[in-house]
Order: sequence, then C-alpha cells, then structure tokens
Amino acid sequence: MKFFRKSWQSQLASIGKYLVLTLASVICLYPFLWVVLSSLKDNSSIYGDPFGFPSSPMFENYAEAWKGADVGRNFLNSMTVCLATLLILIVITAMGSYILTRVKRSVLLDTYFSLGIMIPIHALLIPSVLIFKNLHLTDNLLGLVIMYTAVNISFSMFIMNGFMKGIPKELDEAATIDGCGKGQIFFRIILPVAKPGIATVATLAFLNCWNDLLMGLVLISSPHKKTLALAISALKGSYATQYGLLCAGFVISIVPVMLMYLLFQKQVIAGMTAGAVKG
Amino acid sequence: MAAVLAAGLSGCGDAGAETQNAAQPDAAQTEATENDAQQEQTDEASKADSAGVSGEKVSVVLATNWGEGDAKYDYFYPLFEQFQEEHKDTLDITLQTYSTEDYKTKIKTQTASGDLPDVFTYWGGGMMKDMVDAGLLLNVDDYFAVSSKVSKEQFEDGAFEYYVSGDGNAYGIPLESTRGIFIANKALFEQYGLEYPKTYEDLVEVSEVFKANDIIPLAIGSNGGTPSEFFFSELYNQYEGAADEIKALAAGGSFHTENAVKVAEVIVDMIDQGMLPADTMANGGWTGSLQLYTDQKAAMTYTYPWNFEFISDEMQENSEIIPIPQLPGSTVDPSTMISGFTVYGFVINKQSFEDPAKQDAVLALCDFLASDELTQELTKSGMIPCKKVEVNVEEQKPIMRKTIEYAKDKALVQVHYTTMPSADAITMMDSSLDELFIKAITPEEFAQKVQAVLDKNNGS
Amino acid sequence: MSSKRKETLLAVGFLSPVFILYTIFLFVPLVNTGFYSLTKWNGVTERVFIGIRNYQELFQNSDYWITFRNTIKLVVVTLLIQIPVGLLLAYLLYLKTKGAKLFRTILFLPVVIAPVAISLMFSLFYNSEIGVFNKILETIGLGRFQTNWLSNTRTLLYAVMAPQVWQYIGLYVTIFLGALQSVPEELVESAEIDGAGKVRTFFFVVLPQIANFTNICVILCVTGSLKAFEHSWIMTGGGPGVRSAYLGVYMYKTAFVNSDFGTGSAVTMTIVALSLVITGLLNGIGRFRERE
Repeated sequence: MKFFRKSWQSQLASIGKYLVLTLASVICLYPFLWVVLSSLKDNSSIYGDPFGFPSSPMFENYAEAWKGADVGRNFLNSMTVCLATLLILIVITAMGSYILTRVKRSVLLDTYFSLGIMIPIHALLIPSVLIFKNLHLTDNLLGLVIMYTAVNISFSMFIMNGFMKGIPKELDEAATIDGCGKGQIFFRIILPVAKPGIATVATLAFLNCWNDLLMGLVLISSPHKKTLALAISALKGSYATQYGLLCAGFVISIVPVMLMYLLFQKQVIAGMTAGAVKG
Repeated sequence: MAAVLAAGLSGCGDAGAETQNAAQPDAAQTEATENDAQQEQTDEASKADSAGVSGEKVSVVLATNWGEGDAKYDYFYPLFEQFQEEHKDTLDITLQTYSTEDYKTKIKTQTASGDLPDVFTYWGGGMMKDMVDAGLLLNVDDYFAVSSKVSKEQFEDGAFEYYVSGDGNAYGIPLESTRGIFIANKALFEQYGLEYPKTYEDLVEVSEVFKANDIIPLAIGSNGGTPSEFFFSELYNQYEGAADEIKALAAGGSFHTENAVKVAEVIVDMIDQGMLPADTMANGGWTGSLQLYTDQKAAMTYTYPWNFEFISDEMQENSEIIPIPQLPGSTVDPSTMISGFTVYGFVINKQSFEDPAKQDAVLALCDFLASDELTQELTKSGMIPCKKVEVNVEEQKPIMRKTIEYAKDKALVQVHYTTMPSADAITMMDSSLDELFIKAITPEEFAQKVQAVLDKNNGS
Repeated sequence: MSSKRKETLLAVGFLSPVFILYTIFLFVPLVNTGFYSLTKWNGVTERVFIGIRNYQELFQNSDYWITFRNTIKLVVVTLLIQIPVGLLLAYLLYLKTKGAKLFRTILFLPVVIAPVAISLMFSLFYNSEIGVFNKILETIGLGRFQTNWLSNTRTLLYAVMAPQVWQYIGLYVTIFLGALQSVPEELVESAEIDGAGKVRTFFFVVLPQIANFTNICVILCVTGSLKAFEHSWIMTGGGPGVRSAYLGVYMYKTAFVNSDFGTGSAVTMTIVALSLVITGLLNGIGRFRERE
C-alpha cells in the first residue's frame, strides 16, 4: 500500500516536473526562435507581422551580416580575447579565492573584491581609457584582455569563493598529513575538486566578454581589431535600423556561445563523474 | 618586445611624438618598418594611430556613424575605397565606423582622453558646443582658406547655421540637409471619399471617418522625442513670431513661450480626439511611426527623407505630400513653408589640421568628403545635400521627387532641435514630449521642464 | 615558524596577481570616479573642483529620486522572481531528470541573446496596435487588463522590467545548478533513505548546503539591478521623462548624453554606496541567521 502510494505520488511529481520544465523551455526557446525568424525578414514584415513566419525568407540577411561585420576576421579577435581572458581570469581568481577561503580569511579583502560588481560599466569607461592610454594599452587586444579580466574578477571571486568554501576541510587536513604544502594542496586537491565552480565562472565570464560592447568600443579603434559584438553593433543604422540584418548578426554571434556552453557543460559532468567531490 | 614598446611610443599620437619622428628620421623609419612587419604578422601589433608617420605615408583617421548597416554606407564606401586607392602612396587612411549610439559614446571618451579622430562626422548645435568651447575643432574658414577645391559659396544659404557657434564662426561643414513632410495615403482618402484636411476642423472631421473604420488618422508617436519633437516644431512654426523665437533659442532665448504651450495644447487635443496611435511609446521612433503608415493602418504621418528607404515603391506612389492643416489661432499659412535644416556634417580636428605634417592629408580627406561626387552619390540614399550640386531627379525615389517638387516654392523654417543651445535641453525636450504624449504632464509643465534646463545652464 | 612564513609567502604570491590587476584597472578607476564626482566636468574642458555640490544638487533633483525608487522596485522584483524561479528550475534539473542537459541549455538561451533583440521583441509584443499581448489577454479571458503597456504610467515601469527579469533567470539556474552539483550526493541519498520526501530533503538538506550560493545569487541580483541599464534604455530611453529609468540609465544619460560627467560620477558613487549598504545588510542577516 505504502509502496503504491509513493509511486503514484512520485509519478505525479515527475509529470509536474516535466510540465514545468517544458513550459519554461518553451518560454525560453521562443525568443531565440523569434530572433531566428526575424533574421529572415525585413523591417516591414518584422513590424507588420512580428510573430509570423517570413513569407519569403531573406537568407541574404546572413550574407550581408557576415560581410558587413567581417565575421571571418572579427570572430577570431573575439575568440582570442575571450579565451585569453578566461585563462588568466580563472588562474588568478582560483588562486586568490583559495587563499581567501582556505588559508587566510579576510572580510576586508572580500569586501574590497566585491566592489567591482557594484560599479555600472559606463562609469568605468572614461577613467579606464585614461589609465589604459597612459600605459599605452589602448587600441590593443592585450589591453582588452586586461580590461575584461579586471571587470570579471569581482563576480568570479565571488562565485569561486562559494565553491571553495563548500569543499570539506578534511581534504586539506588529510593532504597536510600526507606532507603536502599549501601550494601543492591547491594544485593537486582543490583545483580538481573545484571544477564545477571553474566551469560556472568560465561560462559566465565567457558570456560577459563575448557580449561586451562598451569596453571594446572605447578601447579598440582600428577596424581590424574589432570584436564581433562591436562589428555586429555597427550593423545598426543611424536613423532606422534594419532589424532583420541585426538579428542575423545576433544569430551568427550566438552560435559559438552556445557551443561553448555545451562544451563547459560536459566539463561539469566530467568533473562530477570523476568522483572528485565524493572522494 | 622592444618593437612593441617602440610601436607603443609612436602610438601616443600627440605632437611630441611627431617632433621626435621628424628629428630622428632614421629612427622613425626603422620604427615604421618594424611596425609594418608586425602589422602583417599579427593583429596584436600596436599601430601608430593618429599622428604616426609610416614610411612617407601620412596616417589619418576618419570616423563616422555611417556604418555597414546604414543607408549611406553603400553609397559612401565605394567612393571612399576609390579615394583610398588613389592616395595609397601618400595616405594611410583608417576608416572607423560605429552605430550612432556607440559612436556618440566613442567620441565622448576620445574627447576626454584627447584621442579625437582627424576628421569625423558629427552633429552641430548643442552637440558640438563643448568641443568648440575647448578649442578642439577647426574654424572651417581656415579650411576653406587653404582648400582649392571647396569653397563656402558652394553651399546652400544658411546651411552653416547649425555649425555656427556663439562666437559667430562655423565649426563644421554641413553635408546633410532635410525636409519634414506630412504625407497622406491617397488611396485611403479616395476610398472614404475624403478631401485632404486644410484646417484643424477638417482634420478632426476626416479623423472621425478613419477612426470609425479602424484606421489611425495620424501615425505619430513619441519615443525618445522622435518623431514628435520635429512635429512639434513644425506645428510651432505656424504661430506668430514662432520662427524668430526658434532662432533666438541659440542665443539664450526662451523655450517657455505662449506659442509652446499653445502647440502642446493642440497636441493634447489631438490625443484626446484619438487622432494618434493609442500607444505612443511603442509606436514611437522613426521606424515604429512610419510602419503604421506603410502598413496602411494609419492614413497620414509626418516623416523625413532618411526614412524613405523604408517606404515601398508602391506606397511612395500612393503617398501625397500635403501641407499640415492650419491650426486654430495660427497666422502663418502652412502651405507656404516647410521645415528644412542642416542635420549632419563633418568636423575637423584643429590640432591635426594645424600640424604641418598632416595638413595636406587632412585637406585631401576633407576635400573628398565635401566633393560634389560624394554629395551626389549620397543623395541616392535619400540625403538632401547642403551643397549646391546638380541632382539627377530621375535617379531619385518617387517620394523624393515629390519632396523636391513640393519644397520648390516653400520658405524654409527651422526646428528647435538645431537651435537648442545645449545637449541636455534637447534631451529634456525629447523626454518631456514623451510624457506629454502619454498625458503624464500638462502642456504648461512640459514647457516649464525644458525652460528649467535652459535657466539652469544660463545661471551657472 | 618557517612553515608559517612559507604560508604567508604563498598567500602573498597567490593573491597578488588578482589583487594588482583588480586594484589598477578597477579600483583606481573607481577612485577616479569618486574624484570626478567632486568636480564640474563636461568631459572636454578642465575639471573644476566644486566639493559636494554635485551631490547636493542631485539630492534636490526629483528625477534622481524617481529613478532611485524605480531601482529599488527593480531590486525587489528581481529578488522575488529571479532567485526562487532560478532555484526551482535548477532543482528540477538536478533531480534525475531525463534530458537535463537539453533543458539546461534551453533555459540558458535567453541569457545569451542580445538585450537589443529581446527589447525589440517585447516592444512589439506590448504594442497595442500590432502586438499580441493584449490579444492573448483577451483570449484567456483577461481582456479587462488590456492597456497600452508602454504608454500607461502605471504599467510602464513593470513592462520595462519584465524582459530583464525574465532574461536573466537562466543565469541563476546555472549558478544554482553548479551549486547543487557540488552538494555531496551521499547527503541527499541518506536523507531520502531516511524517508524524507523530495520537498523536505530540498528544504532541510539541500538548501542549507547551498546557502552560500543563495547569498551569492542574491548579491548578484541586487547589484545587477542597481546598475541595470540596457533594457530600459533600448525600449524607452528611460522615459517618458525618467519614468522607466533606473539609476544606471540616469547615470548614463547625465554623463554621456548630457555631458555632465561630474554629476554622472556622483550618481555612480551613490549606486556603489547603495550596493554596499544593501549587500552589507544582507550579509548581516546571513550571519545573524548562521548564529541562530
């Protein structure tokens, strides 16, 4: 009897679960679909029939967006900058977070590092450009990497701290008994265990960099150093924008992000199944 | 590493670097060669930006918001490429394009960091005021004094006014002029057996008929002040003394006039009569307002040539340009005037122009931008030129031909947008018009809000 | 002693890269902004030091307080919606769900779409002439709620909030899911063996384990709202007037549109101060709860 009731309940719960998830997915999938559909339209059908299918799909929007945003070249710029940023960001924030959560706690430094997530990005533009100019780092992709790293430090430290705090203290203690130094503990024990944290930070930081417009805008001037987001934004017109063209540009720039996301998702799963946490 | 450093140094782009290069030609040469080699090998190289001398070539930077998605780009870019090709032995021209919003932000940061492009398209009036005050822009008379190809007389009368600063000098070269037109859907008027409205009473009458048939009489919204602010000025010009009042704004005149309140009251009445779209925010902006008209959901609209691209050929044929109905109590006959004013042009970086090593390069670039060839080409995008050039009417869109024909015998009147003395006053006018259109504020409050900004600026 | 010194050395070595980068490229600009806020500066001419006059003028400006109130409303709405919904969806994904990977990717999708596109879509959606929102309301029998969403002073602000609140739920799903996955499975399993239902397990076993992350998400949510910009700017330009503007929009408008970088910087400093106060309060509550 009890067995029966439980299974009946859990079945209902399971149906409810899939219902909620499916509904949420539809709501989340729709806008993407809308962007894709709009990317095949011109303005008059986007405004005239905003939620319908395009009567004659304008695939030329893609060709034009690809050429206009010089995707071939700018994609490479964006990818280089984003990956370099991720690499630096993850290494330095993981090291910093390790110290602040497991070696020497400091409320003062925690607060100091959290300031960064409170500053609206526009407020940083002018003072940053002045600093980068003094360091001769304007119009330079390396400068952009540094800027991206700096603005992502706060929230990366923040999330990384959460994961680092969650790792059982016993792991360190056992390692110390085995004769590992703090540095070794970090590289051999903590870093592998913190994989889900790293993957989360990587996903979100990548997204921030990939979609950034403003910092790229003020730091980069030469056309051949433009990031993809910057180039796609230039597809807007001065008085009226051809939204179909712009949407085609968005689709072109979303695809790699989604691939990236799937890739990191695998990493998370891999990190979990490696049994690191359980160990 | 050394190469990167050297390149980085020459990238300061100020006069100091320039002198250094001139004093040490060999060093400059080596640096430049290294620079080139690096450029080819990797995109990471820090390029000598504004003042860098690369070989015998002079580097100049041209910035504009005529980006890849803009209507002008297709006409501008081929000619620009041709110009670049013709001067490839002497000039190393970098073209930087951005979308409008990005472009404004970019120029503001570049102004703050002292990295302005050598030549760039920009707005006049309140938008360029701070740069003029800081002495960053060239008095265009200096340019005309040197140029052998372009002279001030080649431009339409009054075209420079938008770029004239408080000191009476012009600081920009006007390229684009515009005309505001009030258009009506011929077929819809015929379908319901209606005449084009000549007076406000007529307008009320035809509106009743359209409303009864689920057609919005007037597709004019207000989002960020478009297109409402131009429509406001257009109506304003019908009243006694209005033209002078608008003109006086630039020199400290008042916005809160009897006429301003009157016009705002008329607009509120239009809203109350249901002439405008119910949701003026969602249907505001150039595209939003025009769309209702082109989809035949609205019978009339007020628009500008830069939107002509988005009107189908069929709809262009079916559109009639008519005078705005005469408002109650107004004295100027709307059929005798049309709003026409300079909206865009380019400005010259004073420092670059006065740099002997760069002047020729900047001059050549300016001559190109102000050339008849480019002007004529740009007219194809729906631009009304500020320069007196032969425009082949046959090449123009039908609605443009109608506009040219209609404007022929009309007196040109100004709008508030071009004479407002500061950017924040324009911003306030735009955002308050949005409020007026959703009836969140009264006509009196609207006029007060804008006036308060002007007063604050005059006070400090 | 030597091990203590080694530890300090390590701490310094590990912390310095992140500390130095952060200090030079983020903290110094922030200090500069603080300095600009005490000056009159249009971004072009020389800065003139005027003390706290920008702040005095700001606090007397009714537009500032309207955007201030709008921002607080946004903070409350995002907290009430993004966190619970994000957590719920993450937990549903975490339970052994078939197709979790696919769901997760889909739920994340809105986050990667440019706000320009989302905002355009919502503007069209709300539009009473061509949009479908009013039609949907009518179909489901809520016709009396039809209105001009963006032109009605009562609905305007919430209509502008909606796309933003909705778009970033996926962000919290991702963080919460990562957090849930780092909860040791034995804990959950043993609770379930002990007979605790899924709901009880969630509230009494899982939630305390991820309290850290809830805290993080709350702070990200608060700070994100305090500097919110894009959706409001694109859909309405913060208007009509400043009726749908947040502090972030007001700052941008003041600094970049009106070229008043002194006042704009002052707005920034108030945003940072407000963030510090709110996160400080939240942390205080968190610590108080921990002690209990």
